Amino acid sequence: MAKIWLVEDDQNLANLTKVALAKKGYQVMVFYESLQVLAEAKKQKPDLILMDVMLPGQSGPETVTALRNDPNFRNIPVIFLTALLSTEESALGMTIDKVNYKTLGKPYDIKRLLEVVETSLIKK
Amino acid sequence: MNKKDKKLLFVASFDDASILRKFTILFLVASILPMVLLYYIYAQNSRHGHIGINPANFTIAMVLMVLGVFVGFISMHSLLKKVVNISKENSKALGNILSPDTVKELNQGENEIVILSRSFSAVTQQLEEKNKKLRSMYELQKDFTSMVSHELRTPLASIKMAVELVAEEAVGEINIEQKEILGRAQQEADRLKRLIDDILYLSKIEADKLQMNFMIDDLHRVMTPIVESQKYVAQSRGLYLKTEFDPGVPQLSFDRDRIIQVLNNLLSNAIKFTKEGGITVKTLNKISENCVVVSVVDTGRGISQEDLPKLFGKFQQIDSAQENVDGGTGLGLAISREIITRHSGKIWVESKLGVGTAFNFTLPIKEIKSAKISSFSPYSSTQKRGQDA
Ligand SMILES: Nc1ncnc2c1ncn2[C@@H]1O[C@H](COP(=O)(O)OP(=O)(O)O)[C@@H](O)[C@H]1O
Ligand SMILES: [Mg+2]
Repeated sequence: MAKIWLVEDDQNLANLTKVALAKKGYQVMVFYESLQVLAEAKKQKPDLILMDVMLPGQSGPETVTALRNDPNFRNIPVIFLTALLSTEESALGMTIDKVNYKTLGKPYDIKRLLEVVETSLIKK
Repeated sequence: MNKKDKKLLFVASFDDASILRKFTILFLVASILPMVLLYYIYAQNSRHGHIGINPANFTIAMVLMVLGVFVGFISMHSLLKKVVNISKENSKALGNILSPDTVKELNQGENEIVILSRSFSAVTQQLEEKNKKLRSMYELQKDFTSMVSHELRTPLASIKMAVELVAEEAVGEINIEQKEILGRAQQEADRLKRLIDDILYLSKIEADKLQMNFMIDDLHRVMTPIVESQKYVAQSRGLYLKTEFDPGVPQLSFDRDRIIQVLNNLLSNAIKFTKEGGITVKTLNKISENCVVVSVVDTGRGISQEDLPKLFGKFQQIDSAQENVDGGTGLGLAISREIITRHSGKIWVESKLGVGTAFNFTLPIKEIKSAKISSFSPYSSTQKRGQDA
């Protein structure tokens, strides 16, 4: 089953989202900080990344930019999770990568989450 | 007072009498002295009989020279006066903007022009910094909405996710009663989500921070799919939904998504508060008032005369909480009014208790210049959206 990295600083939301994905059989690895992600990226790579936008320290889009420098990560689909209303923010992904990204607004329901995850994995 | 301090005084105070006096003396010495000398040489030469020049010609040359010097003096003088004035303004600005220490530092210059230009650029730099600070303050204020949005949505996301996981039996079976109870929690969580959305939307539009996207478009073409999709909802409740479109409605300039939002809100209200009969959506080209009127007319329960003025206010719901089962936010009409106002239109309601209600709004017909029509095809808005995506 597909490996998913979930980067979310809100621990409750991260763990609940992990349960929802794990129940569908996905292998989920949770990160609360972007630095952990960059460290793990040196060892292995996932099939999909769920990335919060507002992270302490390095923001989600910044982290993705850093990851994309690694050729191994160039084509991994990214879904931004955002609680921001503004369209400028949801357009953030656009500047990083025109192809493999989607945005999911918070609060998201399980059905929508699974839908977006599935289509992103297929497209890949 | 040493030379440097004098210079400092020169730039910082811009005593225009002293600088003009200085200039006048310098000018006179520099131009009249050679003339006197020249005349002296001429006189000496003519006494010794070495006349190389006609005395009449010499006189004319002298007169012209004096005239030239005079004109030069006048124009230089007025130019200098202007420079002095500019400098004065500048030093005033310097006093307001720069600290005395900075002024002192600036005046450590080689000459007045260098000092002057340097002080100008210092003022510009200072203004730029101030401007940047103001801009970041504005950003902060703008970000407040985003921050509130973030802070409210994140815990709400967890609540919704937790309830959903249990309700959908992702973590084990539950009985019907438990499901029902969780269903209520979900309904309220959804209502909270809509409330957050609406409040933020309203605060944004009220603070004029919502970018409007006006395009010239065919109103009926935009309205039709919205009416069609609401038709299913109406029919599922045994209501009709029909249109009476005025074919004389011209192309209008409006924000497509926002007008769709208004129409959706009026239609959902009409369906929500109508038990029998149905809803008619009308348009009318009101030539006398140079606008198009859009009306959503229902045969619903109506609104009493005393409640009518409240409707467009925030959180105004006439029904008791129990009656309002689908969990409206009471902000739909307030948002609609803001959107129509941004279009320079009006929105109003006519109703009779027990008979029905008509919500109407206008969109002004602006004179659309022919050049503009050609560059905006009726489909340009959708095309543009496609390119953006
Ligand atoms: N077509 C209608 N018929 C009767 N009452 C209406 C109609 N439209 C709106 N109202 C009244 O106006 C109130 C405010 O409407 P609105 O601002 O859209 O909020 P909401 O639909 O969320 O309650 C409604 O709660 C209802 O009491
Ligand atoms: Mg409403």
